Amino acid sequence: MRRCVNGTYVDMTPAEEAAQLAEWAANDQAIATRAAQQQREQRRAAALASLLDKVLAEALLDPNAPQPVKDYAAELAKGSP
Amino acid sequence: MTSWVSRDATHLGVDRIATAPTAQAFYDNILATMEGAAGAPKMLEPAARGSAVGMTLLASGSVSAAASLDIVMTAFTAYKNKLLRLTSFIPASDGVALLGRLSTNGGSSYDSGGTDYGYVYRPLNTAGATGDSFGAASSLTFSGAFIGNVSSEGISLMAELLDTTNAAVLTRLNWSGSYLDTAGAITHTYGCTGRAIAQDTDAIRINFSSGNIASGAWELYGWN
Repeated sequence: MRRCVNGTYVDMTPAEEAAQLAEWAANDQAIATRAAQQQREQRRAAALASLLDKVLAEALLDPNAPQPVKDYAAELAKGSP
Repeated sequence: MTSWVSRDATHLGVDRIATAPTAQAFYDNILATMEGAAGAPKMLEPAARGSAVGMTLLASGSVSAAASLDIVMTAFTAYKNKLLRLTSFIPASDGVALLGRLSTNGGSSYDSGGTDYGYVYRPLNTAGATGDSFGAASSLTFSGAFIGNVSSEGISLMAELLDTTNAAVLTRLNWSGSYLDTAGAITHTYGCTGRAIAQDTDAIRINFSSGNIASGAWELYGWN
C-alpha cells in the first residue's frame, strides 16, 4: 500500500498499512450504521404517513368530525393539498 | 503581401498584434499568443489562465492506486490562499465518500481526532434527491458515501483554502463540485469543511472513506 506525496509514491510501513485498513473498516462501519439509521427513519416516516391517511379516511366519513377535518376534506375534494 | 509577423514568430508581443498589417496577420498573432511559441508562456495553459486572474500554479500532478494524495505546501507560504482542483478522482471502491485531513507540520502527521473537523454540505442529484449533511468528524468531509467507482464516475471539485498561513484562524475549505453516484446520477455538491480549531495549515491529505484512489489529477493554485 502506498501514498502519493506531491507526485512521489511512498510505501507505507506495515504499521501504517494496518492503521489505514482499520480506519477504512471503521469508516465502512460508520457509513453502514448511518445508512441503517436513515432507513429506519424513512420507514418510520412512511408508517406515520400511512397511519395518518387511514385515520383521516375514517374521520372524513364521520358526520360529527371536527371542523378542521371537514375543511381538510373540502381541500381534498378540490385536489389539494 | 507577405505578412511580416507569423504564428512562427518567436516574439509575440502586443506591439506585433497591434501593428499586424492585415486582418489575417492580426488573427494569426492572437492565435499564436494564445498557443504560445516554443519556450514561451502559453495563455491556454492552466498556469497562464490562473495568472490572468492573479493566481499562480504552485503544483500539479496525477495520482493512481494510492491510499491518499498528500500535498505538502511548506514551500508555498508566500501564498495565504490556495485553490485545490481535483479532476476525475475515481475511487477503487464503489459508494465511498471523499475525505481529507490537514497538517501543521508539513505532512509529518495529520490531525485525526474524532471531532477535529466540521462539515456542512448540500448534495442534489439529477433524480431530485437531496440531503443536507453536517456534523463533526475525524476528517474533512466533501460528500456522502455515494461516489461511484466506474471509470466514467468519480468526483471533481474545486476547494478554496483561505488564510492558510494565519495561525489565529480556522483553516476552512469552501468547495463546489460534482460526482456520479452509485446509481449513475449526476450529483452537485457544495459546502464547507474545516479544522475545528485555529491553526496554520501547510499540508493537506485527500483520500476516500474506504479503498484507494484509483486515479485522479490535481492542481494547486495560490494567491494573496
